[in-house]
Amino acid sequence: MKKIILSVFTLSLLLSSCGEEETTRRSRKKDKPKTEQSSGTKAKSEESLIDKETMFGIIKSIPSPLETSDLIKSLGIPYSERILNNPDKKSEYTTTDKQALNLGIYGADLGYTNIYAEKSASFNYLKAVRQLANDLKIGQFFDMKTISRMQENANNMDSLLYISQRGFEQMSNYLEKQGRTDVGAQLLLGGWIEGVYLATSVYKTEPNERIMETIGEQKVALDEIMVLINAFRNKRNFQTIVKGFDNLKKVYDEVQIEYIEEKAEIEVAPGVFQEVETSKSIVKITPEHVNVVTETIEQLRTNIID
Amino acid sequence: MKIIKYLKYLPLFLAFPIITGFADEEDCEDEDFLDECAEVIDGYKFLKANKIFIEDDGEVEYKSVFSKGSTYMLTACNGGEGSMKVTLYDRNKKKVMTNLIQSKYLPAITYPCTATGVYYLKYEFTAGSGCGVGIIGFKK
Repeated sequence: MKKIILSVFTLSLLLSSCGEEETTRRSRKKDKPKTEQSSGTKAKSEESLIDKETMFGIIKSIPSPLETSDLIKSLGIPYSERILNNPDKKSEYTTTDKQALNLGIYGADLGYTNIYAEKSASFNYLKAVRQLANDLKIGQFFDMKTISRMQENANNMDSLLYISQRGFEQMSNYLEKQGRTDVGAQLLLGGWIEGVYLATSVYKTEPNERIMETIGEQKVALDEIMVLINAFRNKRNFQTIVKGFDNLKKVYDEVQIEYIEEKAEIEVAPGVFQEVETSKSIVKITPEHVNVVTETIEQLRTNIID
Repeated sequence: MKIIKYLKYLPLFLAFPIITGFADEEDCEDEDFLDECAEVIDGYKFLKANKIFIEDDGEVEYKSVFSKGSTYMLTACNGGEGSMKVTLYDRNKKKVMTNLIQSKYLPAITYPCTATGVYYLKYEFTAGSGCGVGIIGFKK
């Protein structure tokens, strides 16, 4: 009996101390918001100077390429498989860095095919995502159960997007828990690059003011991303993309975003209106800027997919 | 003698608060919980789920880049008692909106974004502590 009591007591102590550590980490978010550590581009040059939590805070803040794909479709621009990375190339990516970056790219392409409800293409990208995720030991989030669930929901685009987006979010959360910051960052960077690439590719064939504005708006995300790039700047496995991002930063430094403060009454919930203080953004970008972004992003992407 | 008889239930008694103490957090970690919460964003496309765990009157802040032209749905879905409050702040940390309207906590609010930028989402619980999930959905 004594043994049992002693074991339970020890177990309670162990469990409560684990909980304490976790709580401290989370409550720190109140005292030291992630934003304070990641604003602007004045990043530290050593990865160790940015903690894991801040890094994944940035990773989670970057907009999903899904929004760009949705915008492209909403503008009535037809589906184009030509602009996507060929899913059959998945086996060519044999290093962890290539696998992680291309997993991000294939994830963005999967989102694009899902948005356009291209079932056959979606399945091919799902297979590519699954293989690279397996290679990276994070394939459990796209297991057979998940794939069956996706097949069952093949006719419901929102459900399909939910399941695939969730899979990527779970992968990112798992990488955070495992402290695999390199892979987490590469996954995000690959996805972001593909989102910008899709926008610039569409702009080349169908120049459109809204797409041009979207390309310009990436300045906001890039400022966040540069914090990650600076953190990994001295790592050998990031050398292929650091230069590309530095070049992108130079172009985007010339792009301006102005804000006009205003008050507006908005419907915050069905039938519930509220006056809110908000603002309107105006992007100042020229076709020349778009051309340089296009060239730079193409070069960056080529270095990853080839 | 009687005390010794009841001592055999001591491990269960000691383990009970541990099990129940973790139950809420485990419930919120559960994928079924998230699936249920995600039903609120019907008509919007799922973007991300911010998992919230708070103790001792704390608050959690996440940031997210929102794009002009998208309407975002921000949900506040919690396990256990009380309500979850979500407040949206703009790039200058100026309050834009909250789900606490006329003393009521709405399960979801929508924000038609007119300015691309970094936004901050602060989550709190009326009960001071709790767990939940804040889902962000969008539509064009």
